[in-house]
Amino acid sequence: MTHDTQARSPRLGHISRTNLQAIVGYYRRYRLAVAGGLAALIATNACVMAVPWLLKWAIEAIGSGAGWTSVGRLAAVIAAVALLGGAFRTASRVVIYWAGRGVEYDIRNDLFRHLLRLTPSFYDRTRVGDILSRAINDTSDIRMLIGPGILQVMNTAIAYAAAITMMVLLSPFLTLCALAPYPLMVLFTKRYTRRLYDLSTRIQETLAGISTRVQETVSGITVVQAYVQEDSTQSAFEAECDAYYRQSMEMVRVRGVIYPLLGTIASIATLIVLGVGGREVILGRLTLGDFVAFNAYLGLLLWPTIAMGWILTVIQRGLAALTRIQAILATPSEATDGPDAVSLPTRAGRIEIRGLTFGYDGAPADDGRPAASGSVLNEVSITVEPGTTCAIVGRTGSGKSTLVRMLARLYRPPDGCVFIDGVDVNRLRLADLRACIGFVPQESFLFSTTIAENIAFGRPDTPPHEIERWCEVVRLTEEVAAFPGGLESVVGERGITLSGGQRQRVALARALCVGPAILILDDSLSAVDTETEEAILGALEEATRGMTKILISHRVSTVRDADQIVVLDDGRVAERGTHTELIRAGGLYADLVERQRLEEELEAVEG
Amino acid sequence: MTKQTDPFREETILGRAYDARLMRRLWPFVRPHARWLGFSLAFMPVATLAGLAQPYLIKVAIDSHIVPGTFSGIGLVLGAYLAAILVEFAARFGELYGTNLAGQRVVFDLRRTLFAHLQRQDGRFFDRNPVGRLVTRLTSDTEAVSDMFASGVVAIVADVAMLVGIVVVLWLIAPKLALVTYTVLPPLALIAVFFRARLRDAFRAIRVLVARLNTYLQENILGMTVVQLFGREGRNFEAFRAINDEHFRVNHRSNIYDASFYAVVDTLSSITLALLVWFGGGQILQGALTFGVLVAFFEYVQRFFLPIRDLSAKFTIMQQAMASLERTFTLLDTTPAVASPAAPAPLPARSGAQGGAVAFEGVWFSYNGEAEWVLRDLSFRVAPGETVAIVGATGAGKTTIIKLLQRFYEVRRGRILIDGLDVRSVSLEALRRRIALVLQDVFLFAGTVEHNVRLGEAIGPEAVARAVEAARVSSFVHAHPAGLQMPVAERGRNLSSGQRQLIAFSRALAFDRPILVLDEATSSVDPETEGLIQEALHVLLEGRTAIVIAHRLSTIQGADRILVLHKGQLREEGTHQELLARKGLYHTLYKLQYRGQEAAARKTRP
Repeated sequence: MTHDTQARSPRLGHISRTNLQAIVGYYRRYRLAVAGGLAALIATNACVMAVPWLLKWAIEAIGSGAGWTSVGRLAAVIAAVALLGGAFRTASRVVIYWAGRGVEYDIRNDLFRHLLRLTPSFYDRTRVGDILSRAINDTSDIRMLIGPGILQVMNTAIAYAAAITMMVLLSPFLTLCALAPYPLMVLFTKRYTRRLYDLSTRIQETLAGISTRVQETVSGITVVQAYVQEDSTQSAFEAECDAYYRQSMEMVRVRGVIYPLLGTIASIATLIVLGVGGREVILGRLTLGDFVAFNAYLGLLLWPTIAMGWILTVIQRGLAALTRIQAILATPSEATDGPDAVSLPTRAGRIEIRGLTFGYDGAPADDGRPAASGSVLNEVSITVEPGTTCAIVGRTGSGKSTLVRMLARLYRPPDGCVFIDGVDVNRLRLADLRACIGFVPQESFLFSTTIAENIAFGRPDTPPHEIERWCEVVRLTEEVAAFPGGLESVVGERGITLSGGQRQRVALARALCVGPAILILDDSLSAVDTETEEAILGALEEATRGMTKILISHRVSTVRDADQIVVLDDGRVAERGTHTELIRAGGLYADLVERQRLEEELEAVEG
Repeated sequence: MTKQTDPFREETILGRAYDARLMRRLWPFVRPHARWLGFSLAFMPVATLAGLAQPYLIKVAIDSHIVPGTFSGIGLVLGAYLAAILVEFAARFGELYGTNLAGQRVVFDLRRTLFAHLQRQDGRFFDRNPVGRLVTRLTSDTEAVSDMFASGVVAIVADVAMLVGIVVVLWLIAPKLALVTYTVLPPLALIAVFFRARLRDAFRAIRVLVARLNTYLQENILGMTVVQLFGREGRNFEAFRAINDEHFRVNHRSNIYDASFYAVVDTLSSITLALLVWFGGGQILQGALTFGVLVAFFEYVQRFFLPIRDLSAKFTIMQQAMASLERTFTLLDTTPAVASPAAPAPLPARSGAQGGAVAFEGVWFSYNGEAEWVLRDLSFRVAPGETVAIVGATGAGKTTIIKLLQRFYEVRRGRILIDGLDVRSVSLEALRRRIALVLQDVFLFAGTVEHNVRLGEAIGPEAVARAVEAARVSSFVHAHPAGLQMPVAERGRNLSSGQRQLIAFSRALAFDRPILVLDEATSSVDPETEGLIQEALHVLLEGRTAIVIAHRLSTIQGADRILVLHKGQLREEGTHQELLARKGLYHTLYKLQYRGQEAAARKTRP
């Protein structure tokens, strides 16, 4: 698990309106359960409060020399009330915890539903670990607030009110004396919870520091070892561990004082009752039964009091978590259909890009690339007629991937620049747009299910023989047959490990399987050897007749037969034409061809 | 780690709550701090006795003073009660303090040992263990061990001591009434066993489901683009909801057990009370028992049931600690393939600024078994003071040469000599103190520029200043108000790649080693920084033996000798002009990798 280092918990006073509204909103579905739980809680406390009073009657009965049967009857009533109380307690907990779990379930679903709608720009700037921590830890913190947290708050309030009422009924004077140390208790709790909170925040930070240090050392182990800095790194690490040790021990001291102290203050109240109450009994102002019952009521206050510190922490953490979740839920999604979204009129697959200029705005990316200055694409215009192939080449960072991602509206292009079959992609219904595109991304991400399911990812009802056919097209049949489970072999950590080339071919089959009008290959056969690639391209020729194809590649062998080749440089169209035309022009493309000839020449030299 | 376990299962498996084998292995870590555990244990009987005394004192107060109505001497009882409270408080504090102190110290030592162990590992280890897993070992897993001390072992012993104490005291005060009270013990034990098994299964199911939620989420976040491109939002949401639903149901089940267990224990406590009223009341009526004893029994029974409620929580803590210990010791059991020899040969003393002869003799190397050879029968010599450039296409084995020279990996066949000695015969430290390494992908630590130049080494401020000046780091540091204390963000992401290279150069200069190993960065920098880098490089190469994996035209042109590597073998050797004239591999490489720079250089220098 990750250590939660972000966002210090807000103070308790900071229950914002939106937070409150959110809690109430989530609770609405469970309001009956919560009301029932509250009723059960009141019933529980009624039973619990009855026991000392019955005890008082029993003792008075014994004292007055009544028969064993009447005492026995009282004992039976105590047992019955206890059973009833137990049943009510179980019911109240089950119901309220159920509501808490229900809210957790709802929030998690809401969060995931929202995540499914957020665009790559959100994922570019948010770390996976953060999102996971919110979906798992934060929802769990909210559940603690809404389940056990609220239960304890209600229980404490009811128990306090009831126990004190009963004590006053027994003896107002003794109540006053017994509760005298309690303000002290509240004072201590308040002071120490603040300190506990500050300390635990500091400890979390130190632990995060230790974690970062380990991470940094492992990542930079070559430098550490090459410069023989193991000892100095070790001392720096130990200094951090030492700080952690000292803070933890301070925590132990504070905790070691506060919890026993709460118990001690409660014991002192007992002592007071023993002294003052004993005197009252001797003076005849109180019966022994009253005395014992009073003591029992005092004992009932102990737990709610000790639980108070815990409740405060739960509420703080829950509210902080709620704030963080709200932040994600408030992130607007660009990938929504407007009210005037239209369906694709035809499925011809004509692509037209007119004067497209685009830049990623905002903060620098996580990998330390400086903030993009200026635009990634500059006045790009390309037309691809239905059924033709357009190849895009260019250096890393020249804007090729951005361009094709805009076709699928993974990034939203400016209005009036990108058209499919004559309709602006921004006006198309997203589902329609994506259904007509078969996209093979640069990183061939596969899910950890079977190969067959991965291929049928976009069309889960694909019949097996069709899956097999696509396997054949991407030249995967033989290799798949060699796996123990064939097409049913599970991919990934818990299954078979596919090579980069195999993964790319599964991703290609996945895109073909949806039967798209437009097929986009974003450098997606880079890990496949040239020979297999030629074979695949040959088979594709047959299988994708009529499809419009966009091929991004570094390999001349991939692009040479395209109907048009576009060379991007620094976000602009530098050259365009057929292979022969571009070679003749002697520009960037001709350079690329020459370099690859040299590389092949080198590779051909025997080792 | 010998076998590749499922990383995700590895984190979720929970086994026994106590494993003698693991505890025996932990003992060497505990022993130095055992006296603190002893300290803690010494307080335990005191705390237990002081706790046991309190109900008894209530009995005395009732029987000797309140019922007969005598005030005299009640002050003594009250005083004793107060004393018992204070002693219990102090003893509990001592108990807690001792165990936590021992626990924290054990964890400190464990962490220190783990970290040192980590730093001794070789390249193969780091290839196999992802960073995240190692971080978990040093943080969460050690924390679980600390929890075991804080609220596991000793707390359980203290609880058991109190339970046994109560059972004994009850017997001593009133054997008959005690026997009646004991009748609830068998059902209590049965209930505890029943619920423990249910709760443990539920917890296990919950952990598995949380892990499934985690994986599913992670996979979907990583593959979100694919999910969206293929219009799978609806289906995947349903799949997620199914897991979430199961998670909800398993938790609900565990809630029912948890709530019932709590209520049943509570109810049983009240039923015991009723039993006492019924039987004890009868005894009092017969004159066989006093009121004080009955009230004292009420108190003892309440104290008896208190620790039983959170037994399951303590049990889980122990289980987690055991699982963590298992993983920790598995990590500690890995032995690096590369280590200093038992009796290292001393490297000959350096003679002047010159020094450092390097030789590869028939070196064979492969990262995986003997299937794919990365280096094949590689032999070359570098004389002291000589600059040798290594060139070759991607995958020719250039970087492997550096890793072997530093002994991050062990050669499979042949040997590597430094100043005539096999690198395996000298200590790792001595070997690495001969070499300054500058990697292609410069690694900077979070901190300051100065820290990144001298790392943890005791290098004087003047030497640092000289290195910074010579490597032209001063060009951007001087402009910063903090100077050398200019902050460096994690991995140096606040600096440009050129600036990072300059810092790496000044690091190599400050350490002043006779042999320089340099893997030039491929990323292009602006012409101005390029000029600074070339100047700094010139200073760096002067007088040193240098092995450079060259990406700059100027570097290969300035090298004394160029080695051309192809598919793990040395194919050509000579100066730039000689090799060009040969029209061989080098000529092709030159056209491929360096000629473009020539053109670019001509363009920028009008």
